[in-house]
This record gives sequence, C-alpha cells and structure tokens, in this order.
Amino acid sequence: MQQTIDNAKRGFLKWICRLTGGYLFLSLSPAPLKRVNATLFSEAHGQTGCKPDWCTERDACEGDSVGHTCSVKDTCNVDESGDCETDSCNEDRSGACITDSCNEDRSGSCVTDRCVSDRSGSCVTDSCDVDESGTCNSDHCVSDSSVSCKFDQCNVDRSGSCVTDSCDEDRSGGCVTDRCVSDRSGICSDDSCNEDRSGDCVTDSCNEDWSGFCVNDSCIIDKSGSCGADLCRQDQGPDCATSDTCALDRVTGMRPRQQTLASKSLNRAMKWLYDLAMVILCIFTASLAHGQNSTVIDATNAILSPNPTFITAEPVSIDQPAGPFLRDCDGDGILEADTNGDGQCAGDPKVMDYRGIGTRELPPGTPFTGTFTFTCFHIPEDVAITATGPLNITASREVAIFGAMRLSDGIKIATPVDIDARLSTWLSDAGEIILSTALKGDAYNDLLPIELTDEQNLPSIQYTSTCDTTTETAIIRAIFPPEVTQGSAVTIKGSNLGIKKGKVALGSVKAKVNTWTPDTIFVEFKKVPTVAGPYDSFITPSKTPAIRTEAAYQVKAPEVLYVSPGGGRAGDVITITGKFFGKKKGKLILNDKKCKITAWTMDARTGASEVEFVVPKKLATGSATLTLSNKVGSFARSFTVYDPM
Amino acid sequence: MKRYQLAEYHLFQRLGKLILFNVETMLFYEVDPVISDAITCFEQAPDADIPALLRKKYSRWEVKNAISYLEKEGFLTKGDGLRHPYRTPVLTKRRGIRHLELLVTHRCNMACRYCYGIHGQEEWGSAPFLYGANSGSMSFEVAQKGVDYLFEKSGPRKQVSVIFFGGEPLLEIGLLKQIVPYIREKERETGKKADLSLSTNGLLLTPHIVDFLVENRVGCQVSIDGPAAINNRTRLLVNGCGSYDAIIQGVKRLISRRPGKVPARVTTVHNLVDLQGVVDHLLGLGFGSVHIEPAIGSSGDMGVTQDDVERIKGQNEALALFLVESVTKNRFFNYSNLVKHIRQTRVVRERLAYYCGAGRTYFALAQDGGFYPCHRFVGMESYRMGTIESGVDLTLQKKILSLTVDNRPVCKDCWARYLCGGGCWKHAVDAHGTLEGSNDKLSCQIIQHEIECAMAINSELAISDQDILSTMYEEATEPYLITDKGGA
Repeated sequence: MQQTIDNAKRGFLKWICRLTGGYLFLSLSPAPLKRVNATLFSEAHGQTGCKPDWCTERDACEGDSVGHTCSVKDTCNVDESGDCETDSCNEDRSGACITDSCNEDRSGSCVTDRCVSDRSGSCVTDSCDVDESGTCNSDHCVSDSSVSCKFDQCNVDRSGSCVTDSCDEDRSGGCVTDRCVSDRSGICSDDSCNEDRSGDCVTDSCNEDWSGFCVNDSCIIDKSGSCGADLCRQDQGPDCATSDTCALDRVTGMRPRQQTLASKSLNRAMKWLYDLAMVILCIFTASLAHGQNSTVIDATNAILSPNPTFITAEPVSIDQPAGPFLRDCDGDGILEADTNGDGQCAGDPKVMDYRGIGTRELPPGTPFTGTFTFTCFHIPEDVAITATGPLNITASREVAIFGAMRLSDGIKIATPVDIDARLSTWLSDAGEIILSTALKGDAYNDLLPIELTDEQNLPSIQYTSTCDTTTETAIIRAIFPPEVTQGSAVTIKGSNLGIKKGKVALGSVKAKVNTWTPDTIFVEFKKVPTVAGPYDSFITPSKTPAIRTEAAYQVKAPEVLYVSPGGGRAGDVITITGKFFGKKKGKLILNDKKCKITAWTMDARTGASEVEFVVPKKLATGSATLTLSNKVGSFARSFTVYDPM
Repeated sequence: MKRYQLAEYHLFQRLGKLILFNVETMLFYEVDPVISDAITCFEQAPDADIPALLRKKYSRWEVKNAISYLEKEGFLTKGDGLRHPYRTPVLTKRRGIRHLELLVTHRCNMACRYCYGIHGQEEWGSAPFLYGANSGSMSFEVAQKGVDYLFEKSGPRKQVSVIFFGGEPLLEIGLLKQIVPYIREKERETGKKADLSLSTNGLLLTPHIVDFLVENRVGCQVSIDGPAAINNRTRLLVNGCGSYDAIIQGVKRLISRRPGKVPARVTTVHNLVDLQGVVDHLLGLGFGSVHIEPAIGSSGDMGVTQDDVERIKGQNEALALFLVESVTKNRFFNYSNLVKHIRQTRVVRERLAYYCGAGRTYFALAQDGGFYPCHRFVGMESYRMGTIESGVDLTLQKKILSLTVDNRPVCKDCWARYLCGGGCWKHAVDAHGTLEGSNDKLSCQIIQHEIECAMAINSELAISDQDILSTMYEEATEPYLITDKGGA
C-alpha cells in the first residue's frame, strides 16, 4: 500500500514538473510565428456596417479630416467652411463654395466662374489666361490685343483674323500649302518644311527628320539612320543612327572616292544627294622657314562648300587680339567660346555635346557673327561651330580648323601664318569662304582632286594648339564602383585627361580601356589581383605621368547570398545568387565532388552574380559543404543532400 | 488529438525568409521551421498525432505551441463542421464608367517588333496591320462624344480619367489640342475632375509638345525598353534602325520638365532579359518609375519562354535584394513590378476580384465610335461593347462581371488570386480563345514570384520602421491607366 502511494506521489510530482517545465519553456521561447502585415478588412477586425462612401462594400471607411464619418461623398481639397458638402474648390475663402470650380475667387461670388485670373470682377464663362478687356468671351487667345480674338490660335493676332495668314506657326492644321516653318499637323507634305515631326514629310527638304521617313531628303542631320544621300562628313555611329556629319554612311555604303562640292548656287544645305563630285582645293604657300614652299591649306579629306577663295601675300593687319577663341576659362575641362571677342570669360558659352551626338557645339541659338581678332582660332576635330551671320576673323598666331564650320553667310579668315584646315568641313548657306594669309608663296589656281578615303584610314590629328591651356594637370575626380572583381566594368571621371587613350591599372594589373575622353574613361578588368583587398589605381593619360589614387579599389572575393533550394538530390538543378563571382567560370565543389556548372553570370557594373549547377551523384546524404571559388577567393555554404529518389 | 480543418495557405521560401500566407485573411507571417513542418503535416495527415509525427525534430511542447499559434491566426479551425471559405461576390449593379481610352489614331511612326498591332489581330479583316503608317485617326466629333459619354455616365463619381492611346497618340497633336480644352470645359461644367494621360514612344517629344503636355497637365508614360543595346533590338524606326538615339533627347526633355514623375514602360522579350541593367539605366536617366512587362501572347516569336521566365525570376530576386539594401540605406528606387506588390501586401485594403477595370468601369473608344473593353480588343468584333450612340452594351459586361477570380479556372485555385485579380483578359483570350480562360501560364508564374518577393521584402523590412515603405514609396508618378480593382 505504502509503495503504491509512494509511486502515485512520484508520478504526480513528475507530471507537475513536466507541466511546469513545459510552460516555462513556452513562456521563455520566442514566438515561432510573427505577423508582418495588416489588413483593413472589416471581417478581419470584426467591423461591420461600413457606409458606402469611398469604400467598397467590404472595406473599412476612410474618414474625412474634419472628423465626419464619411457619410457624405466629400471631395474637397480644403474645406474651411466645415461642411465640405459637394464642394470642389481648391480653396474656398468665402465659405460658400457650393458648386464652384474656381481656382481663386477674389470676388467672393465664385458662381460658375472659370477664370484663372479675373481682374474685372465679371469673369463669367471666361477661359482666358489674361483678360484685360473684360470681354474675353469664349476666346482662346494667349494674348488678345485686338479685342476680336475669336477662335484664333495665333501667337499674336494683330489683325484679328489669323485664319489663312502665312503663320509662323499653324496649329489649326490648315496650313497645307503654306510655307510653314514648322508643321505640326502632319499634312505638310508639299511644304518646304524645316521640320517634319509627323513622319509624312517624305519629299520635303527637311533639316531634321525625327520620324525616319525623310529618306530622300538632303538632311544635314540624320537621326533616323537613313542618311543615304545626305551631306555627311563622318559617320561615328555603327548604324548612322546618330546625327553625324557623315562623309561616309555605312548604312548605304556610300563611299565617294572623289567629290566636288556643289557650286555656290547649289549649296543651300537643303538639296539632296550629289553624285560623285570633285572637291577641289589646294593652295600652297611659301614655308615660313628659309623661303621654302609650304602648304598653306592642306585640305585632304576636307569638304568645303562653297569653294573657298584663297589669297596669299595679302597684308594682314592685326588689331589687339583677344586671346584664343576656345579656352577653358574656369578649369572644369570644358571649353568656353569667346563669341563676343572681348577676351573676357564672363558670359562665354560652353562648347559641349548638348545633343548627345558626339559633337561639341555652342549652345543652340548662340549668336556668333561679326569681326573678331583672336590669337588662336583652333577648332578641334569633334567641334562644330555655327555662325549666325557673316564672320570676319583675323588670327594673329594660329588658324587650325579640324572641325566643322556651319556658316549662314560666309567667313573671311586672315592670318599672317599657315592655315591648317585638314579634315575641316565648311558649309555656308550664303556668302563666300575667303581664306587669306600674308605669307608669300605661290598660289595654285589649278584644281586638284581630293580623295576621301575609308573612314578607318582617316589620319588622326596629333595637334597641340599654341594657345592650349587645357593640357594642364589631369585630375581624377571619381572612380566607381569601388568594389570590383574579375570582369568588373568601372567608370573613371576626371578632367584634362586628353583625348588619346592612356593606360589604367589596378595595382600592377592592367585594365582594358574601352573608351577614353577628356573627362570619362570606361575600363574593364579582365584580370584582377588574386588576393582580395584594397588596391591603388594608376591612371596614365598620354604623355603625362601616372596619377595614383590610394586604395581606390577593393578587390572582392565571391560572396554567396543564398542558395535556392537549400538542398537537393543528385541531378537537381540549384541556383546560387550572390556577388562578385567574376565573369569567368570558377569552380564549385560539394564536399569533395566537383559540380557541373550549367550557368555562370555576373553583372559587370554591380557585381550581382548567379550560378546554376547540378548536384553530383554519389554524395553522402545529409549536411554538406558547398564551396564556390574563383581566382580571388572562395565562399563556403552549407547544403543538404537528400536521398536519391 | 482534436480534429482541425486547415485554411487555404501558401508556404514558400524567398530571399532567405520562410513565409506563410493565409489566402483568406490575406495576412502573412515569417515563421520558424516548426510552423512550416506542422502545417505541412496537417495537410498530409490531418487526423494524425502531429506532435508524435514530429517528435524526432521537435519537442512536444514546441509542436503544441506551434499548433496553438496556427489556431490563433486562423490557419487551423477546430471541429468537424464544414468551413465556409470566403468567395468573391459577383456584382450586378453597374457603377458607371470611370476611365475612357480614346484611340486617337492607329497610325504609328515606329515598327516595334513585338507590337500586338501586327500580331494576333485576325479579326481585323483585310487590313494587314492594326497600327501602321497608313491606318486611320479619330475625328474630333467622335472624341467629343466619347468625352460627353464619360462625363454623363460616370454617375456620382467626382474623378474620371481619359487616356489617349494609339498607335502613337502624339501624331494627333492637333486633335489633342482640341479635345483637352474641351475636357477642361466639361470639368468646369460638371464639377468633376479629369486625369489625362497618354503613352508615347518618345519620338515626337519636341519642345512645343512637351510644353503642351506639361502646361495642360497631361500625364505621359514613355515606352522604352532600356539602354540602346537592348532598346534598339526591339523598338525600331520604320526603316529598321534602332530608335534610342532618336528618342533620347525628347525623353530627357520631358523628364527635365517633370523630374521624378515620368514612368517608363518596358517590354522584355525572348532572350533579351536584363532587368537589372534596364532598371539601372532608366532610373539613371531620371524616370520616376520603371515597369517591366514580358511580351506574352500575340507577340510572335518575341514572346518570352519558360527559360526567360526563370531568368526573370532570378533577376527579380537580385533586384529585390538590392531594393532592401537601398531602403535600409535610405536610398530607394521605384521598380514598380515589386513596389506595387510591396505596397499592396503591406497593408491590404481589399481583395481583388478582377485584374483591371476593362469592360466594367474602363472602356476603349475606337475611331468608329465603338466601345471595347480596352485597346487590345479594338478591331475584334466579338468583343465590341456597343457604340457612343447606343451606349455600352450590357451583355459582355455581365459576363465580365461574373468572371471573378473565384469563378475562373486555374485562378480559383491559385493562392495569389486576391492579390492578382486573375490576369489580363487579353492574355486569357490569346491563350484559350475565350475570356473564361485563365491567364497565360508564364505570366502567372511571374506575378506569383513577384508577390512572393514583395512579401519577403516586407518581412525583411518589418523589423525596422514600419512606415519606411509607405512614406518612401508614395505615388510620385502621374496616374496612368488607373484601373478599378476589387469589387467596385
């Protein structure tokens, strides 16, 4: 009996302990389940009877800001009156904004007003932007000077009947046969449009063809890539999709061997397609040194229109020169143009690639005309200068024009030194091109053929201007991304880096330089050091010492973020996602077995990486170690091997 | 062991998180493996002694604890009686029209390779292309009548929207300049507000047109497929050349006038999947958001395959990780494929019964005055829904209203149905020839994966400030194709 009681007592104590232990365990353990989100469902929260304002039938109501229970369909932005009933005013200062739709009600009686601004106080049914007459009934004028601006859509209507006028802009679409400057209606098919944005301007002589329909036009700029007959100078894009001034057009295969530009009467820059023509230009002058003849103008690969007039041995008087035409005033690596010829930097426009077309230009619309005297008139190869009127330039020290001169009314350049115009393009709508030098020598009057060679054989211009102040200190401003591995693509920003490709190294390992401009370098690291860690950057522009940036790069070993799924059996395909795996395929080992890799990718800019592999056979079931490695390092992660099916 | 009934749930692992989603309550949880194992056991052996089944891995207390949590959160319900799971009610009451698409033109000045205007329009009759240089345009009279119809039939709604579609709608800038003031006039007359928007290929974003769009508050979405190397493979000019260089100036012009507010709409096609590169590039240009849709259905050989979908999923996960990292460093970007689901799942406001409002509160008006559920059905006679003269025909609308997610095949068994709404009607027609069909299978996979990533992101960020996402991801872009969702 006593034994039974003792057994019962022991059993009871055990049960108590187990129960207490269990509850203790539960109370100390974190919850195995953690809710993340919330809902506004009435069912989930036990609410019922939501009124239908701004609600679906099942949702909880949203209340209005005054505290009403959303029983009325309020839509006010602001309701200062407090009852927000059917108001739709942006502001209601009067407190009586019932059925009003004013933006502002100054009169206090904003009944049916539609004025943006009502100065007359009687803005009934007006829709004017400005109503100075007080009788702006149903007008759509931007500006109404005549008081009878009914239905006009003119920018300025002084006559009061701008329906069939030869408008600067025709928004009505009725300008079919008018000489429109801009055709927005899309039916300007016979017009001599300057712009055709509709795509119908097939036979128009367009300056710009945005639609790609301007196939037969004599475009100066071809954005569509169908620049078959256009006056192009050089095709920098592989598919002529950029608005280059092509001398060749790879799309059409046009490679004129010999060209002569059209005569002055043809050179309106709107005509299309000239056949094989001869560009004639050759002038020689005496050399500067010891009376030898030297080339005054070497126009190999030049395109000039109209044919320039060359004058030698003419006296050239130099007024006080104003310094170089193009220089970097503020040291930011961007040239400024002295378009007013005062030698001062204030207000000078920057010469940049505004349109992303690979050509640096003045800002569109910059006035540049008149008489100037500069020390250097140097136009680099990738610069195009547009004149808005006749130009008369005297240069005291240097004339070196390798880029493009787009002239509206001719140019005269006079200098006592050589004129170097290799690779120039001169296009003038009107006026003459007159180039004169005071150097003595023979002037050839015979016309010589000029050959335009294949673009790949165009000589690159190795030229340093005597006024060049931009070859000063090269600066590196930024290198990104800083974290790299094999295959990473890096962008280097700086200034004064020059135009010739230099060298870039990560520590002692050379990088592949893809692009090099005076302010941006794009490189790719085909190889990196085999030890992860910080490394210096060495950037060596042409003919300058290397620029060292300490610890610019951090070479990264691979990092595995996750393995999906986290386990598998032989033959299963598994994906590993992470960073810095490298572009070249590395190795993947599961315990001691090599895995077959079916995909290995890395984004060159971000390092985001993904690998796919097949679980090998003959692995022990259970926990295993998955190791991903490349030349820089390795990363191990656990993986579960399941029994084969 | 008490008898339990199991709620409809979805258990998955994404971004290193184990997530359990209750389909009916729309709540989701980050869970420990014990919860996952317990619920799986319940599904496989509902009558078994679950703690005993799991005794090798967990103590009895752990399993019982897990069961009590599952019960508390509505995954397990005691008793033998039948559960009555939630089913979306079919609404019959007409709510009036809220969004009207005006197909202002079928002309287009580009020749994108995946355009559905070329593929899949068998019912268009003798015209070889739906969209192209020679197709027609809408008259002002038809547009005006459409606007009148919208304002009249919008009922008590204070807000409506008009979307200008094409072809390329900016080819009809003349019509837009007539109809936009007319719409503003109607606003003043009726006291309603109209949101205006359009989708453009970017080729005609000249300074004057951008001025017009900005001054008249017309929202503008740009269709662009990414950097030039990708964009120029699919979005071609009519001469076959890539369009990137031709559009980029206009695009930058528009973005500079509306910084951070211009959405980019991207189509990703077979063998050209590079979501990270595309998002990176477009957000770098200054777009406010990027939305990427796979080419599916009537896109010819450009349509994505299963391999592409796997790549999309992998890249979406990488983007999800990057998004989490960015948010924790107080930097954020609007990749809307994920962000919309992040918002949607973080605080759930409604269960979606439909994917969009097409045919219910959203209609497209064709040049001839005919109504269609949306622009993708224009020209398909069997989906014509009346005219502006006769009004919207109820017959097809009734069918659309009846096809809630709980009544569509495949959708009705999908765990994500109340977050998705059932997928595009046109995808269903392309895949199965009928509205009653389910969404395209590949599209479903992508949507499900996006939702899982969104939940995992929410779970990852739930441990920090709960308000981070709702303040960071406010709608900064212009409203575009606002669709009515849910039971409205």
